[in-house]
Amino acid sequence: MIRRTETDTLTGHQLTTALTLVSIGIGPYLYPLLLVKVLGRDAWLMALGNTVMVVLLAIAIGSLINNAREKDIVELYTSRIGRLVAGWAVILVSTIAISGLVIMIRVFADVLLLTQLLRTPRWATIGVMTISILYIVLLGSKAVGRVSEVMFLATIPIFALIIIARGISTDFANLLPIGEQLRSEHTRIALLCSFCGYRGVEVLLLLAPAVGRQVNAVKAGYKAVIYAATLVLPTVILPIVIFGPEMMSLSSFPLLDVASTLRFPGGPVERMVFVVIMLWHGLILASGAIQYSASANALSRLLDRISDIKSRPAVVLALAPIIWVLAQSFRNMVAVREAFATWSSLGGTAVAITVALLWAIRWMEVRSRP
Amino acid sequence: MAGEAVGEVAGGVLRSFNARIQKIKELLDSSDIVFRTFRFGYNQALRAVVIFVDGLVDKEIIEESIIGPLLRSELRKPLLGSPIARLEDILPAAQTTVADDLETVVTEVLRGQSAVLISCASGTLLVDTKGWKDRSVEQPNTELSILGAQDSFTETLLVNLSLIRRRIVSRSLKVVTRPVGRQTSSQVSIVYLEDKAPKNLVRRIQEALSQLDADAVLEGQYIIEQLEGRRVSPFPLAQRTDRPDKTAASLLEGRVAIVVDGAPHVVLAPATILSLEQGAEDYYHSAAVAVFLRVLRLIGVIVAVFGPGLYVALVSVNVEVIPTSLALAIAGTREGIPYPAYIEALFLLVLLELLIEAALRLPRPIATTVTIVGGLIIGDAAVRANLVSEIMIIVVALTAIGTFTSVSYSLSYAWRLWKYAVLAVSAFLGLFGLLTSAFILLGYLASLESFGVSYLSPIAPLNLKSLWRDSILRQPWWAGLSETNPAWRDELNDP
Repeated sequence: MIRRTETDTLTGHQLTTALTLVSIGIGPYLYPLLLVKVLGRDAWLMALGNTVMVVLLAIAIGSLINNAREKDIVELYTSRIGRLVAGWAVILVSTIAISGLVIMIRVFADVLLLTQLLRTPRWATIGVMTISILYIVLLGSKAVGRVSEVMFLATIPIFALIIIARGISTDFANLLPIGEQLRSEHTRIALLCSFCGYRGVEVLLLLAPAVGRQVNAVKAGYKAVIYAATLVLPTVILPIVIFGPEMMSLSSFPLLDVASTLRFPGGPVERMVFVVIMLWHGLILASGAIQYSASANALSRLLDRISDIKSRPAVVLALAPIIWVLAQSFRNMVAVREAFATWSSLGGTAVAITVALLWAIRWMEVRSRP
Repeated sequence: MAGEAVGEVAGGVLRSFNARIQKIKELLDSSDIVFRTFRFGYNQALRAVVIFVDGLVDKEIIEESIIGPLLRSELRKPLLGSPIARLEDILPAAQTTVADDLETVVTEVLRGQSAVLISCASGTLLVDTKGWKDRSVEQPNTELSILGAQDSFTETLLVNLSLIRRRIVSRSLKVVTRPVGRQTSSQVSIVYLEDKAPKNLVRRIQEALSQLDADAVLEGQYIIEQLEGRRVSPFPLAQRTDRPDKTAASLLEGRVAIVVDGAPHVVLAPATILSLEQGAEDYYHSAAVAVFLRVLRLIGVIVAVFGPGLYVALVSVNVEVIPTSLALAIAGTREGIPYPAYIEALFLLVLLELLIEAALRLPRPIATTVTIVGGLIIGDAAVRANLVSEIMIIVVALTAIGTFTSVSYSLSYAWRLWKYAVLAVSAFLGLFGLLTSAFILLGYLASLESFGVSYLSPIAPLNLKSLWRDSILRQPWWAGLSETNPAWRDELNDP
């Protein structure tokens, strides 16, 4: 029979694309500014170091999923750290993902307000974004996985092309001398900031129930981080070499400013910045749907376990007004940036601790086996 | 004693003979049913009745294959009570079957067979005498091809099956026919290649057909909608074609064809959005030309769906995106037009839809006149009256051209519908709305499945091999295209 998608299973490629999109959904737009404000010209070094950390975390989560006997994150947590703590852990990780989505939607709504929809109220643009993401999530995890595959193919090549086009005519000597800014007083803050690059990895943990047994989650996570890092690194480097760290720290969205310096004589679009905004829009909708879906899946499984009710659509619908209200709750752009910085650091740390805890328990389990 | 027994038996059979005819007359109480009665055999001692529907049979076959041989025969009474199957030796008709129950007899007579009852034998002989007037094999109407085969399916099941068989001379080509529909009892055939079609796909379709509970099945769409379940989608979830060559190629890919008697189209399953946009012509050209044509069609579809929305978004919401000189030129053409761009677009698009519908319903010479009057005169008058701008005429014309590049007639309707949704959102939210509507369309397409196969296959789930071999791209024949194993087979877990 011809039917709607019913199962939750993702393919390995879908997992990779989903993680990549989540990683670059917001990172390239806010991450460079955050690092540059602390580390100046050497910000890109921390971004590079952070990539290694993210790779390690992705491998840790991936192997945890692949080696676990449990079929979803709730079971995995419950068996490892007990039901009560498991419930809170699932809520914590889901909250991190949903918070990321809220920040993304709000940031993009502000960008729209400044560039494209000057007269449209913010609540309306946030509402449209929330509803469109909600619609996709309601269609099921399989549909979300397929959307992420198509969006990956549709957006990543253009994103890469823009970076290459701008990178060709850039003098990378502006990055020299390397390491000058990395003084001891900065290192502590820089290390903290480097957690900012965690974006997306927690989704791998949440997507565990959607990952079929045949999918190698380690490989998918590893590939996704490499893809994302390949794209995020240039977005940190390019604004530094084009504008310099001082000028860059005055910009609201350095990547958009980089895009506005691109010119295609005779091209159909006069201002490339709009292309980048459209690209960003696509990335936000796709990565938002992935984060939303992953969180809703985990929360609904938690509820199913408590109440034995199939609650996914209810959870999905209940989250939408929360996202809409939260996205409007920030006072201004500065508040959003502060929230991003806090969320990135705390979220990243929380995910790292959770994974470390799960691994420690697993290690003890293995050791205690006869 | 023996003579009395024979007489009793004879009396019983005769009573049964009369009773059966009476019963059939009751069941087939219609003026077009013919009961041809005659005497035959030794001393004209036996009676026979041939029952058929006037207009559904070839009377020459009845004369030459049933009545003539019976009249010439010397059948004697000692054969009384013998099974009617013995008549098969006397009648040279191509296909005969024996039916014992009257329900079968009545159904088969209504399908064009002739029922032969004789007074000395029990049972009824059904002789295949089908021979109604039908349309000859003509050129395809919905999928024209310049280099490709010029034959198309007709409304006759057997003709359609023969058109497929002529192309695939293989023992593994299987045809399973069953009646579907309580009132129509239409013959529906499932056609597949045993060694190519995934077994679970064939089983799924067979099960679905056997569970199909409908009063009438007159056309392939009845089946498609019943199989789709409780959903209404503008996108066709099975492919319909009137081309036997395309059907044969699909069967060779492992797809399953559903042929409905009375329908000039064959339903192919599963269908994906890319398979729906692949034309028969693509395989009659070189690979390079085929890829060019497919890319062209893709551009056509994008223009058709997003063209009016994009124009309205750029003109009324995001003017700053386009080059200043172009923006000024557009503003110049719109000068004096009292309505916003989206009203302009809507007016012209609805006008175009009306023209298309009118042209489809009218006889061809009048349709041409209507198109000229509508397209040229009304369009020109609208521009002169400052109702629409010249550039909007260009946009709508491009949209129309783009729509008709779609290979699948059913799919082109879906694109036409989506275009309005895109236009509505873009009119208020500009490029942001355009992208949002594109994203929702993508999500919707991603949620669709045709018989368990993703509608977006082989893009999502991604199968690079299939994508490279035959999707938007097309490999040359020498690279093994004929041995293509489509991506959707993996989705059905079929080796």
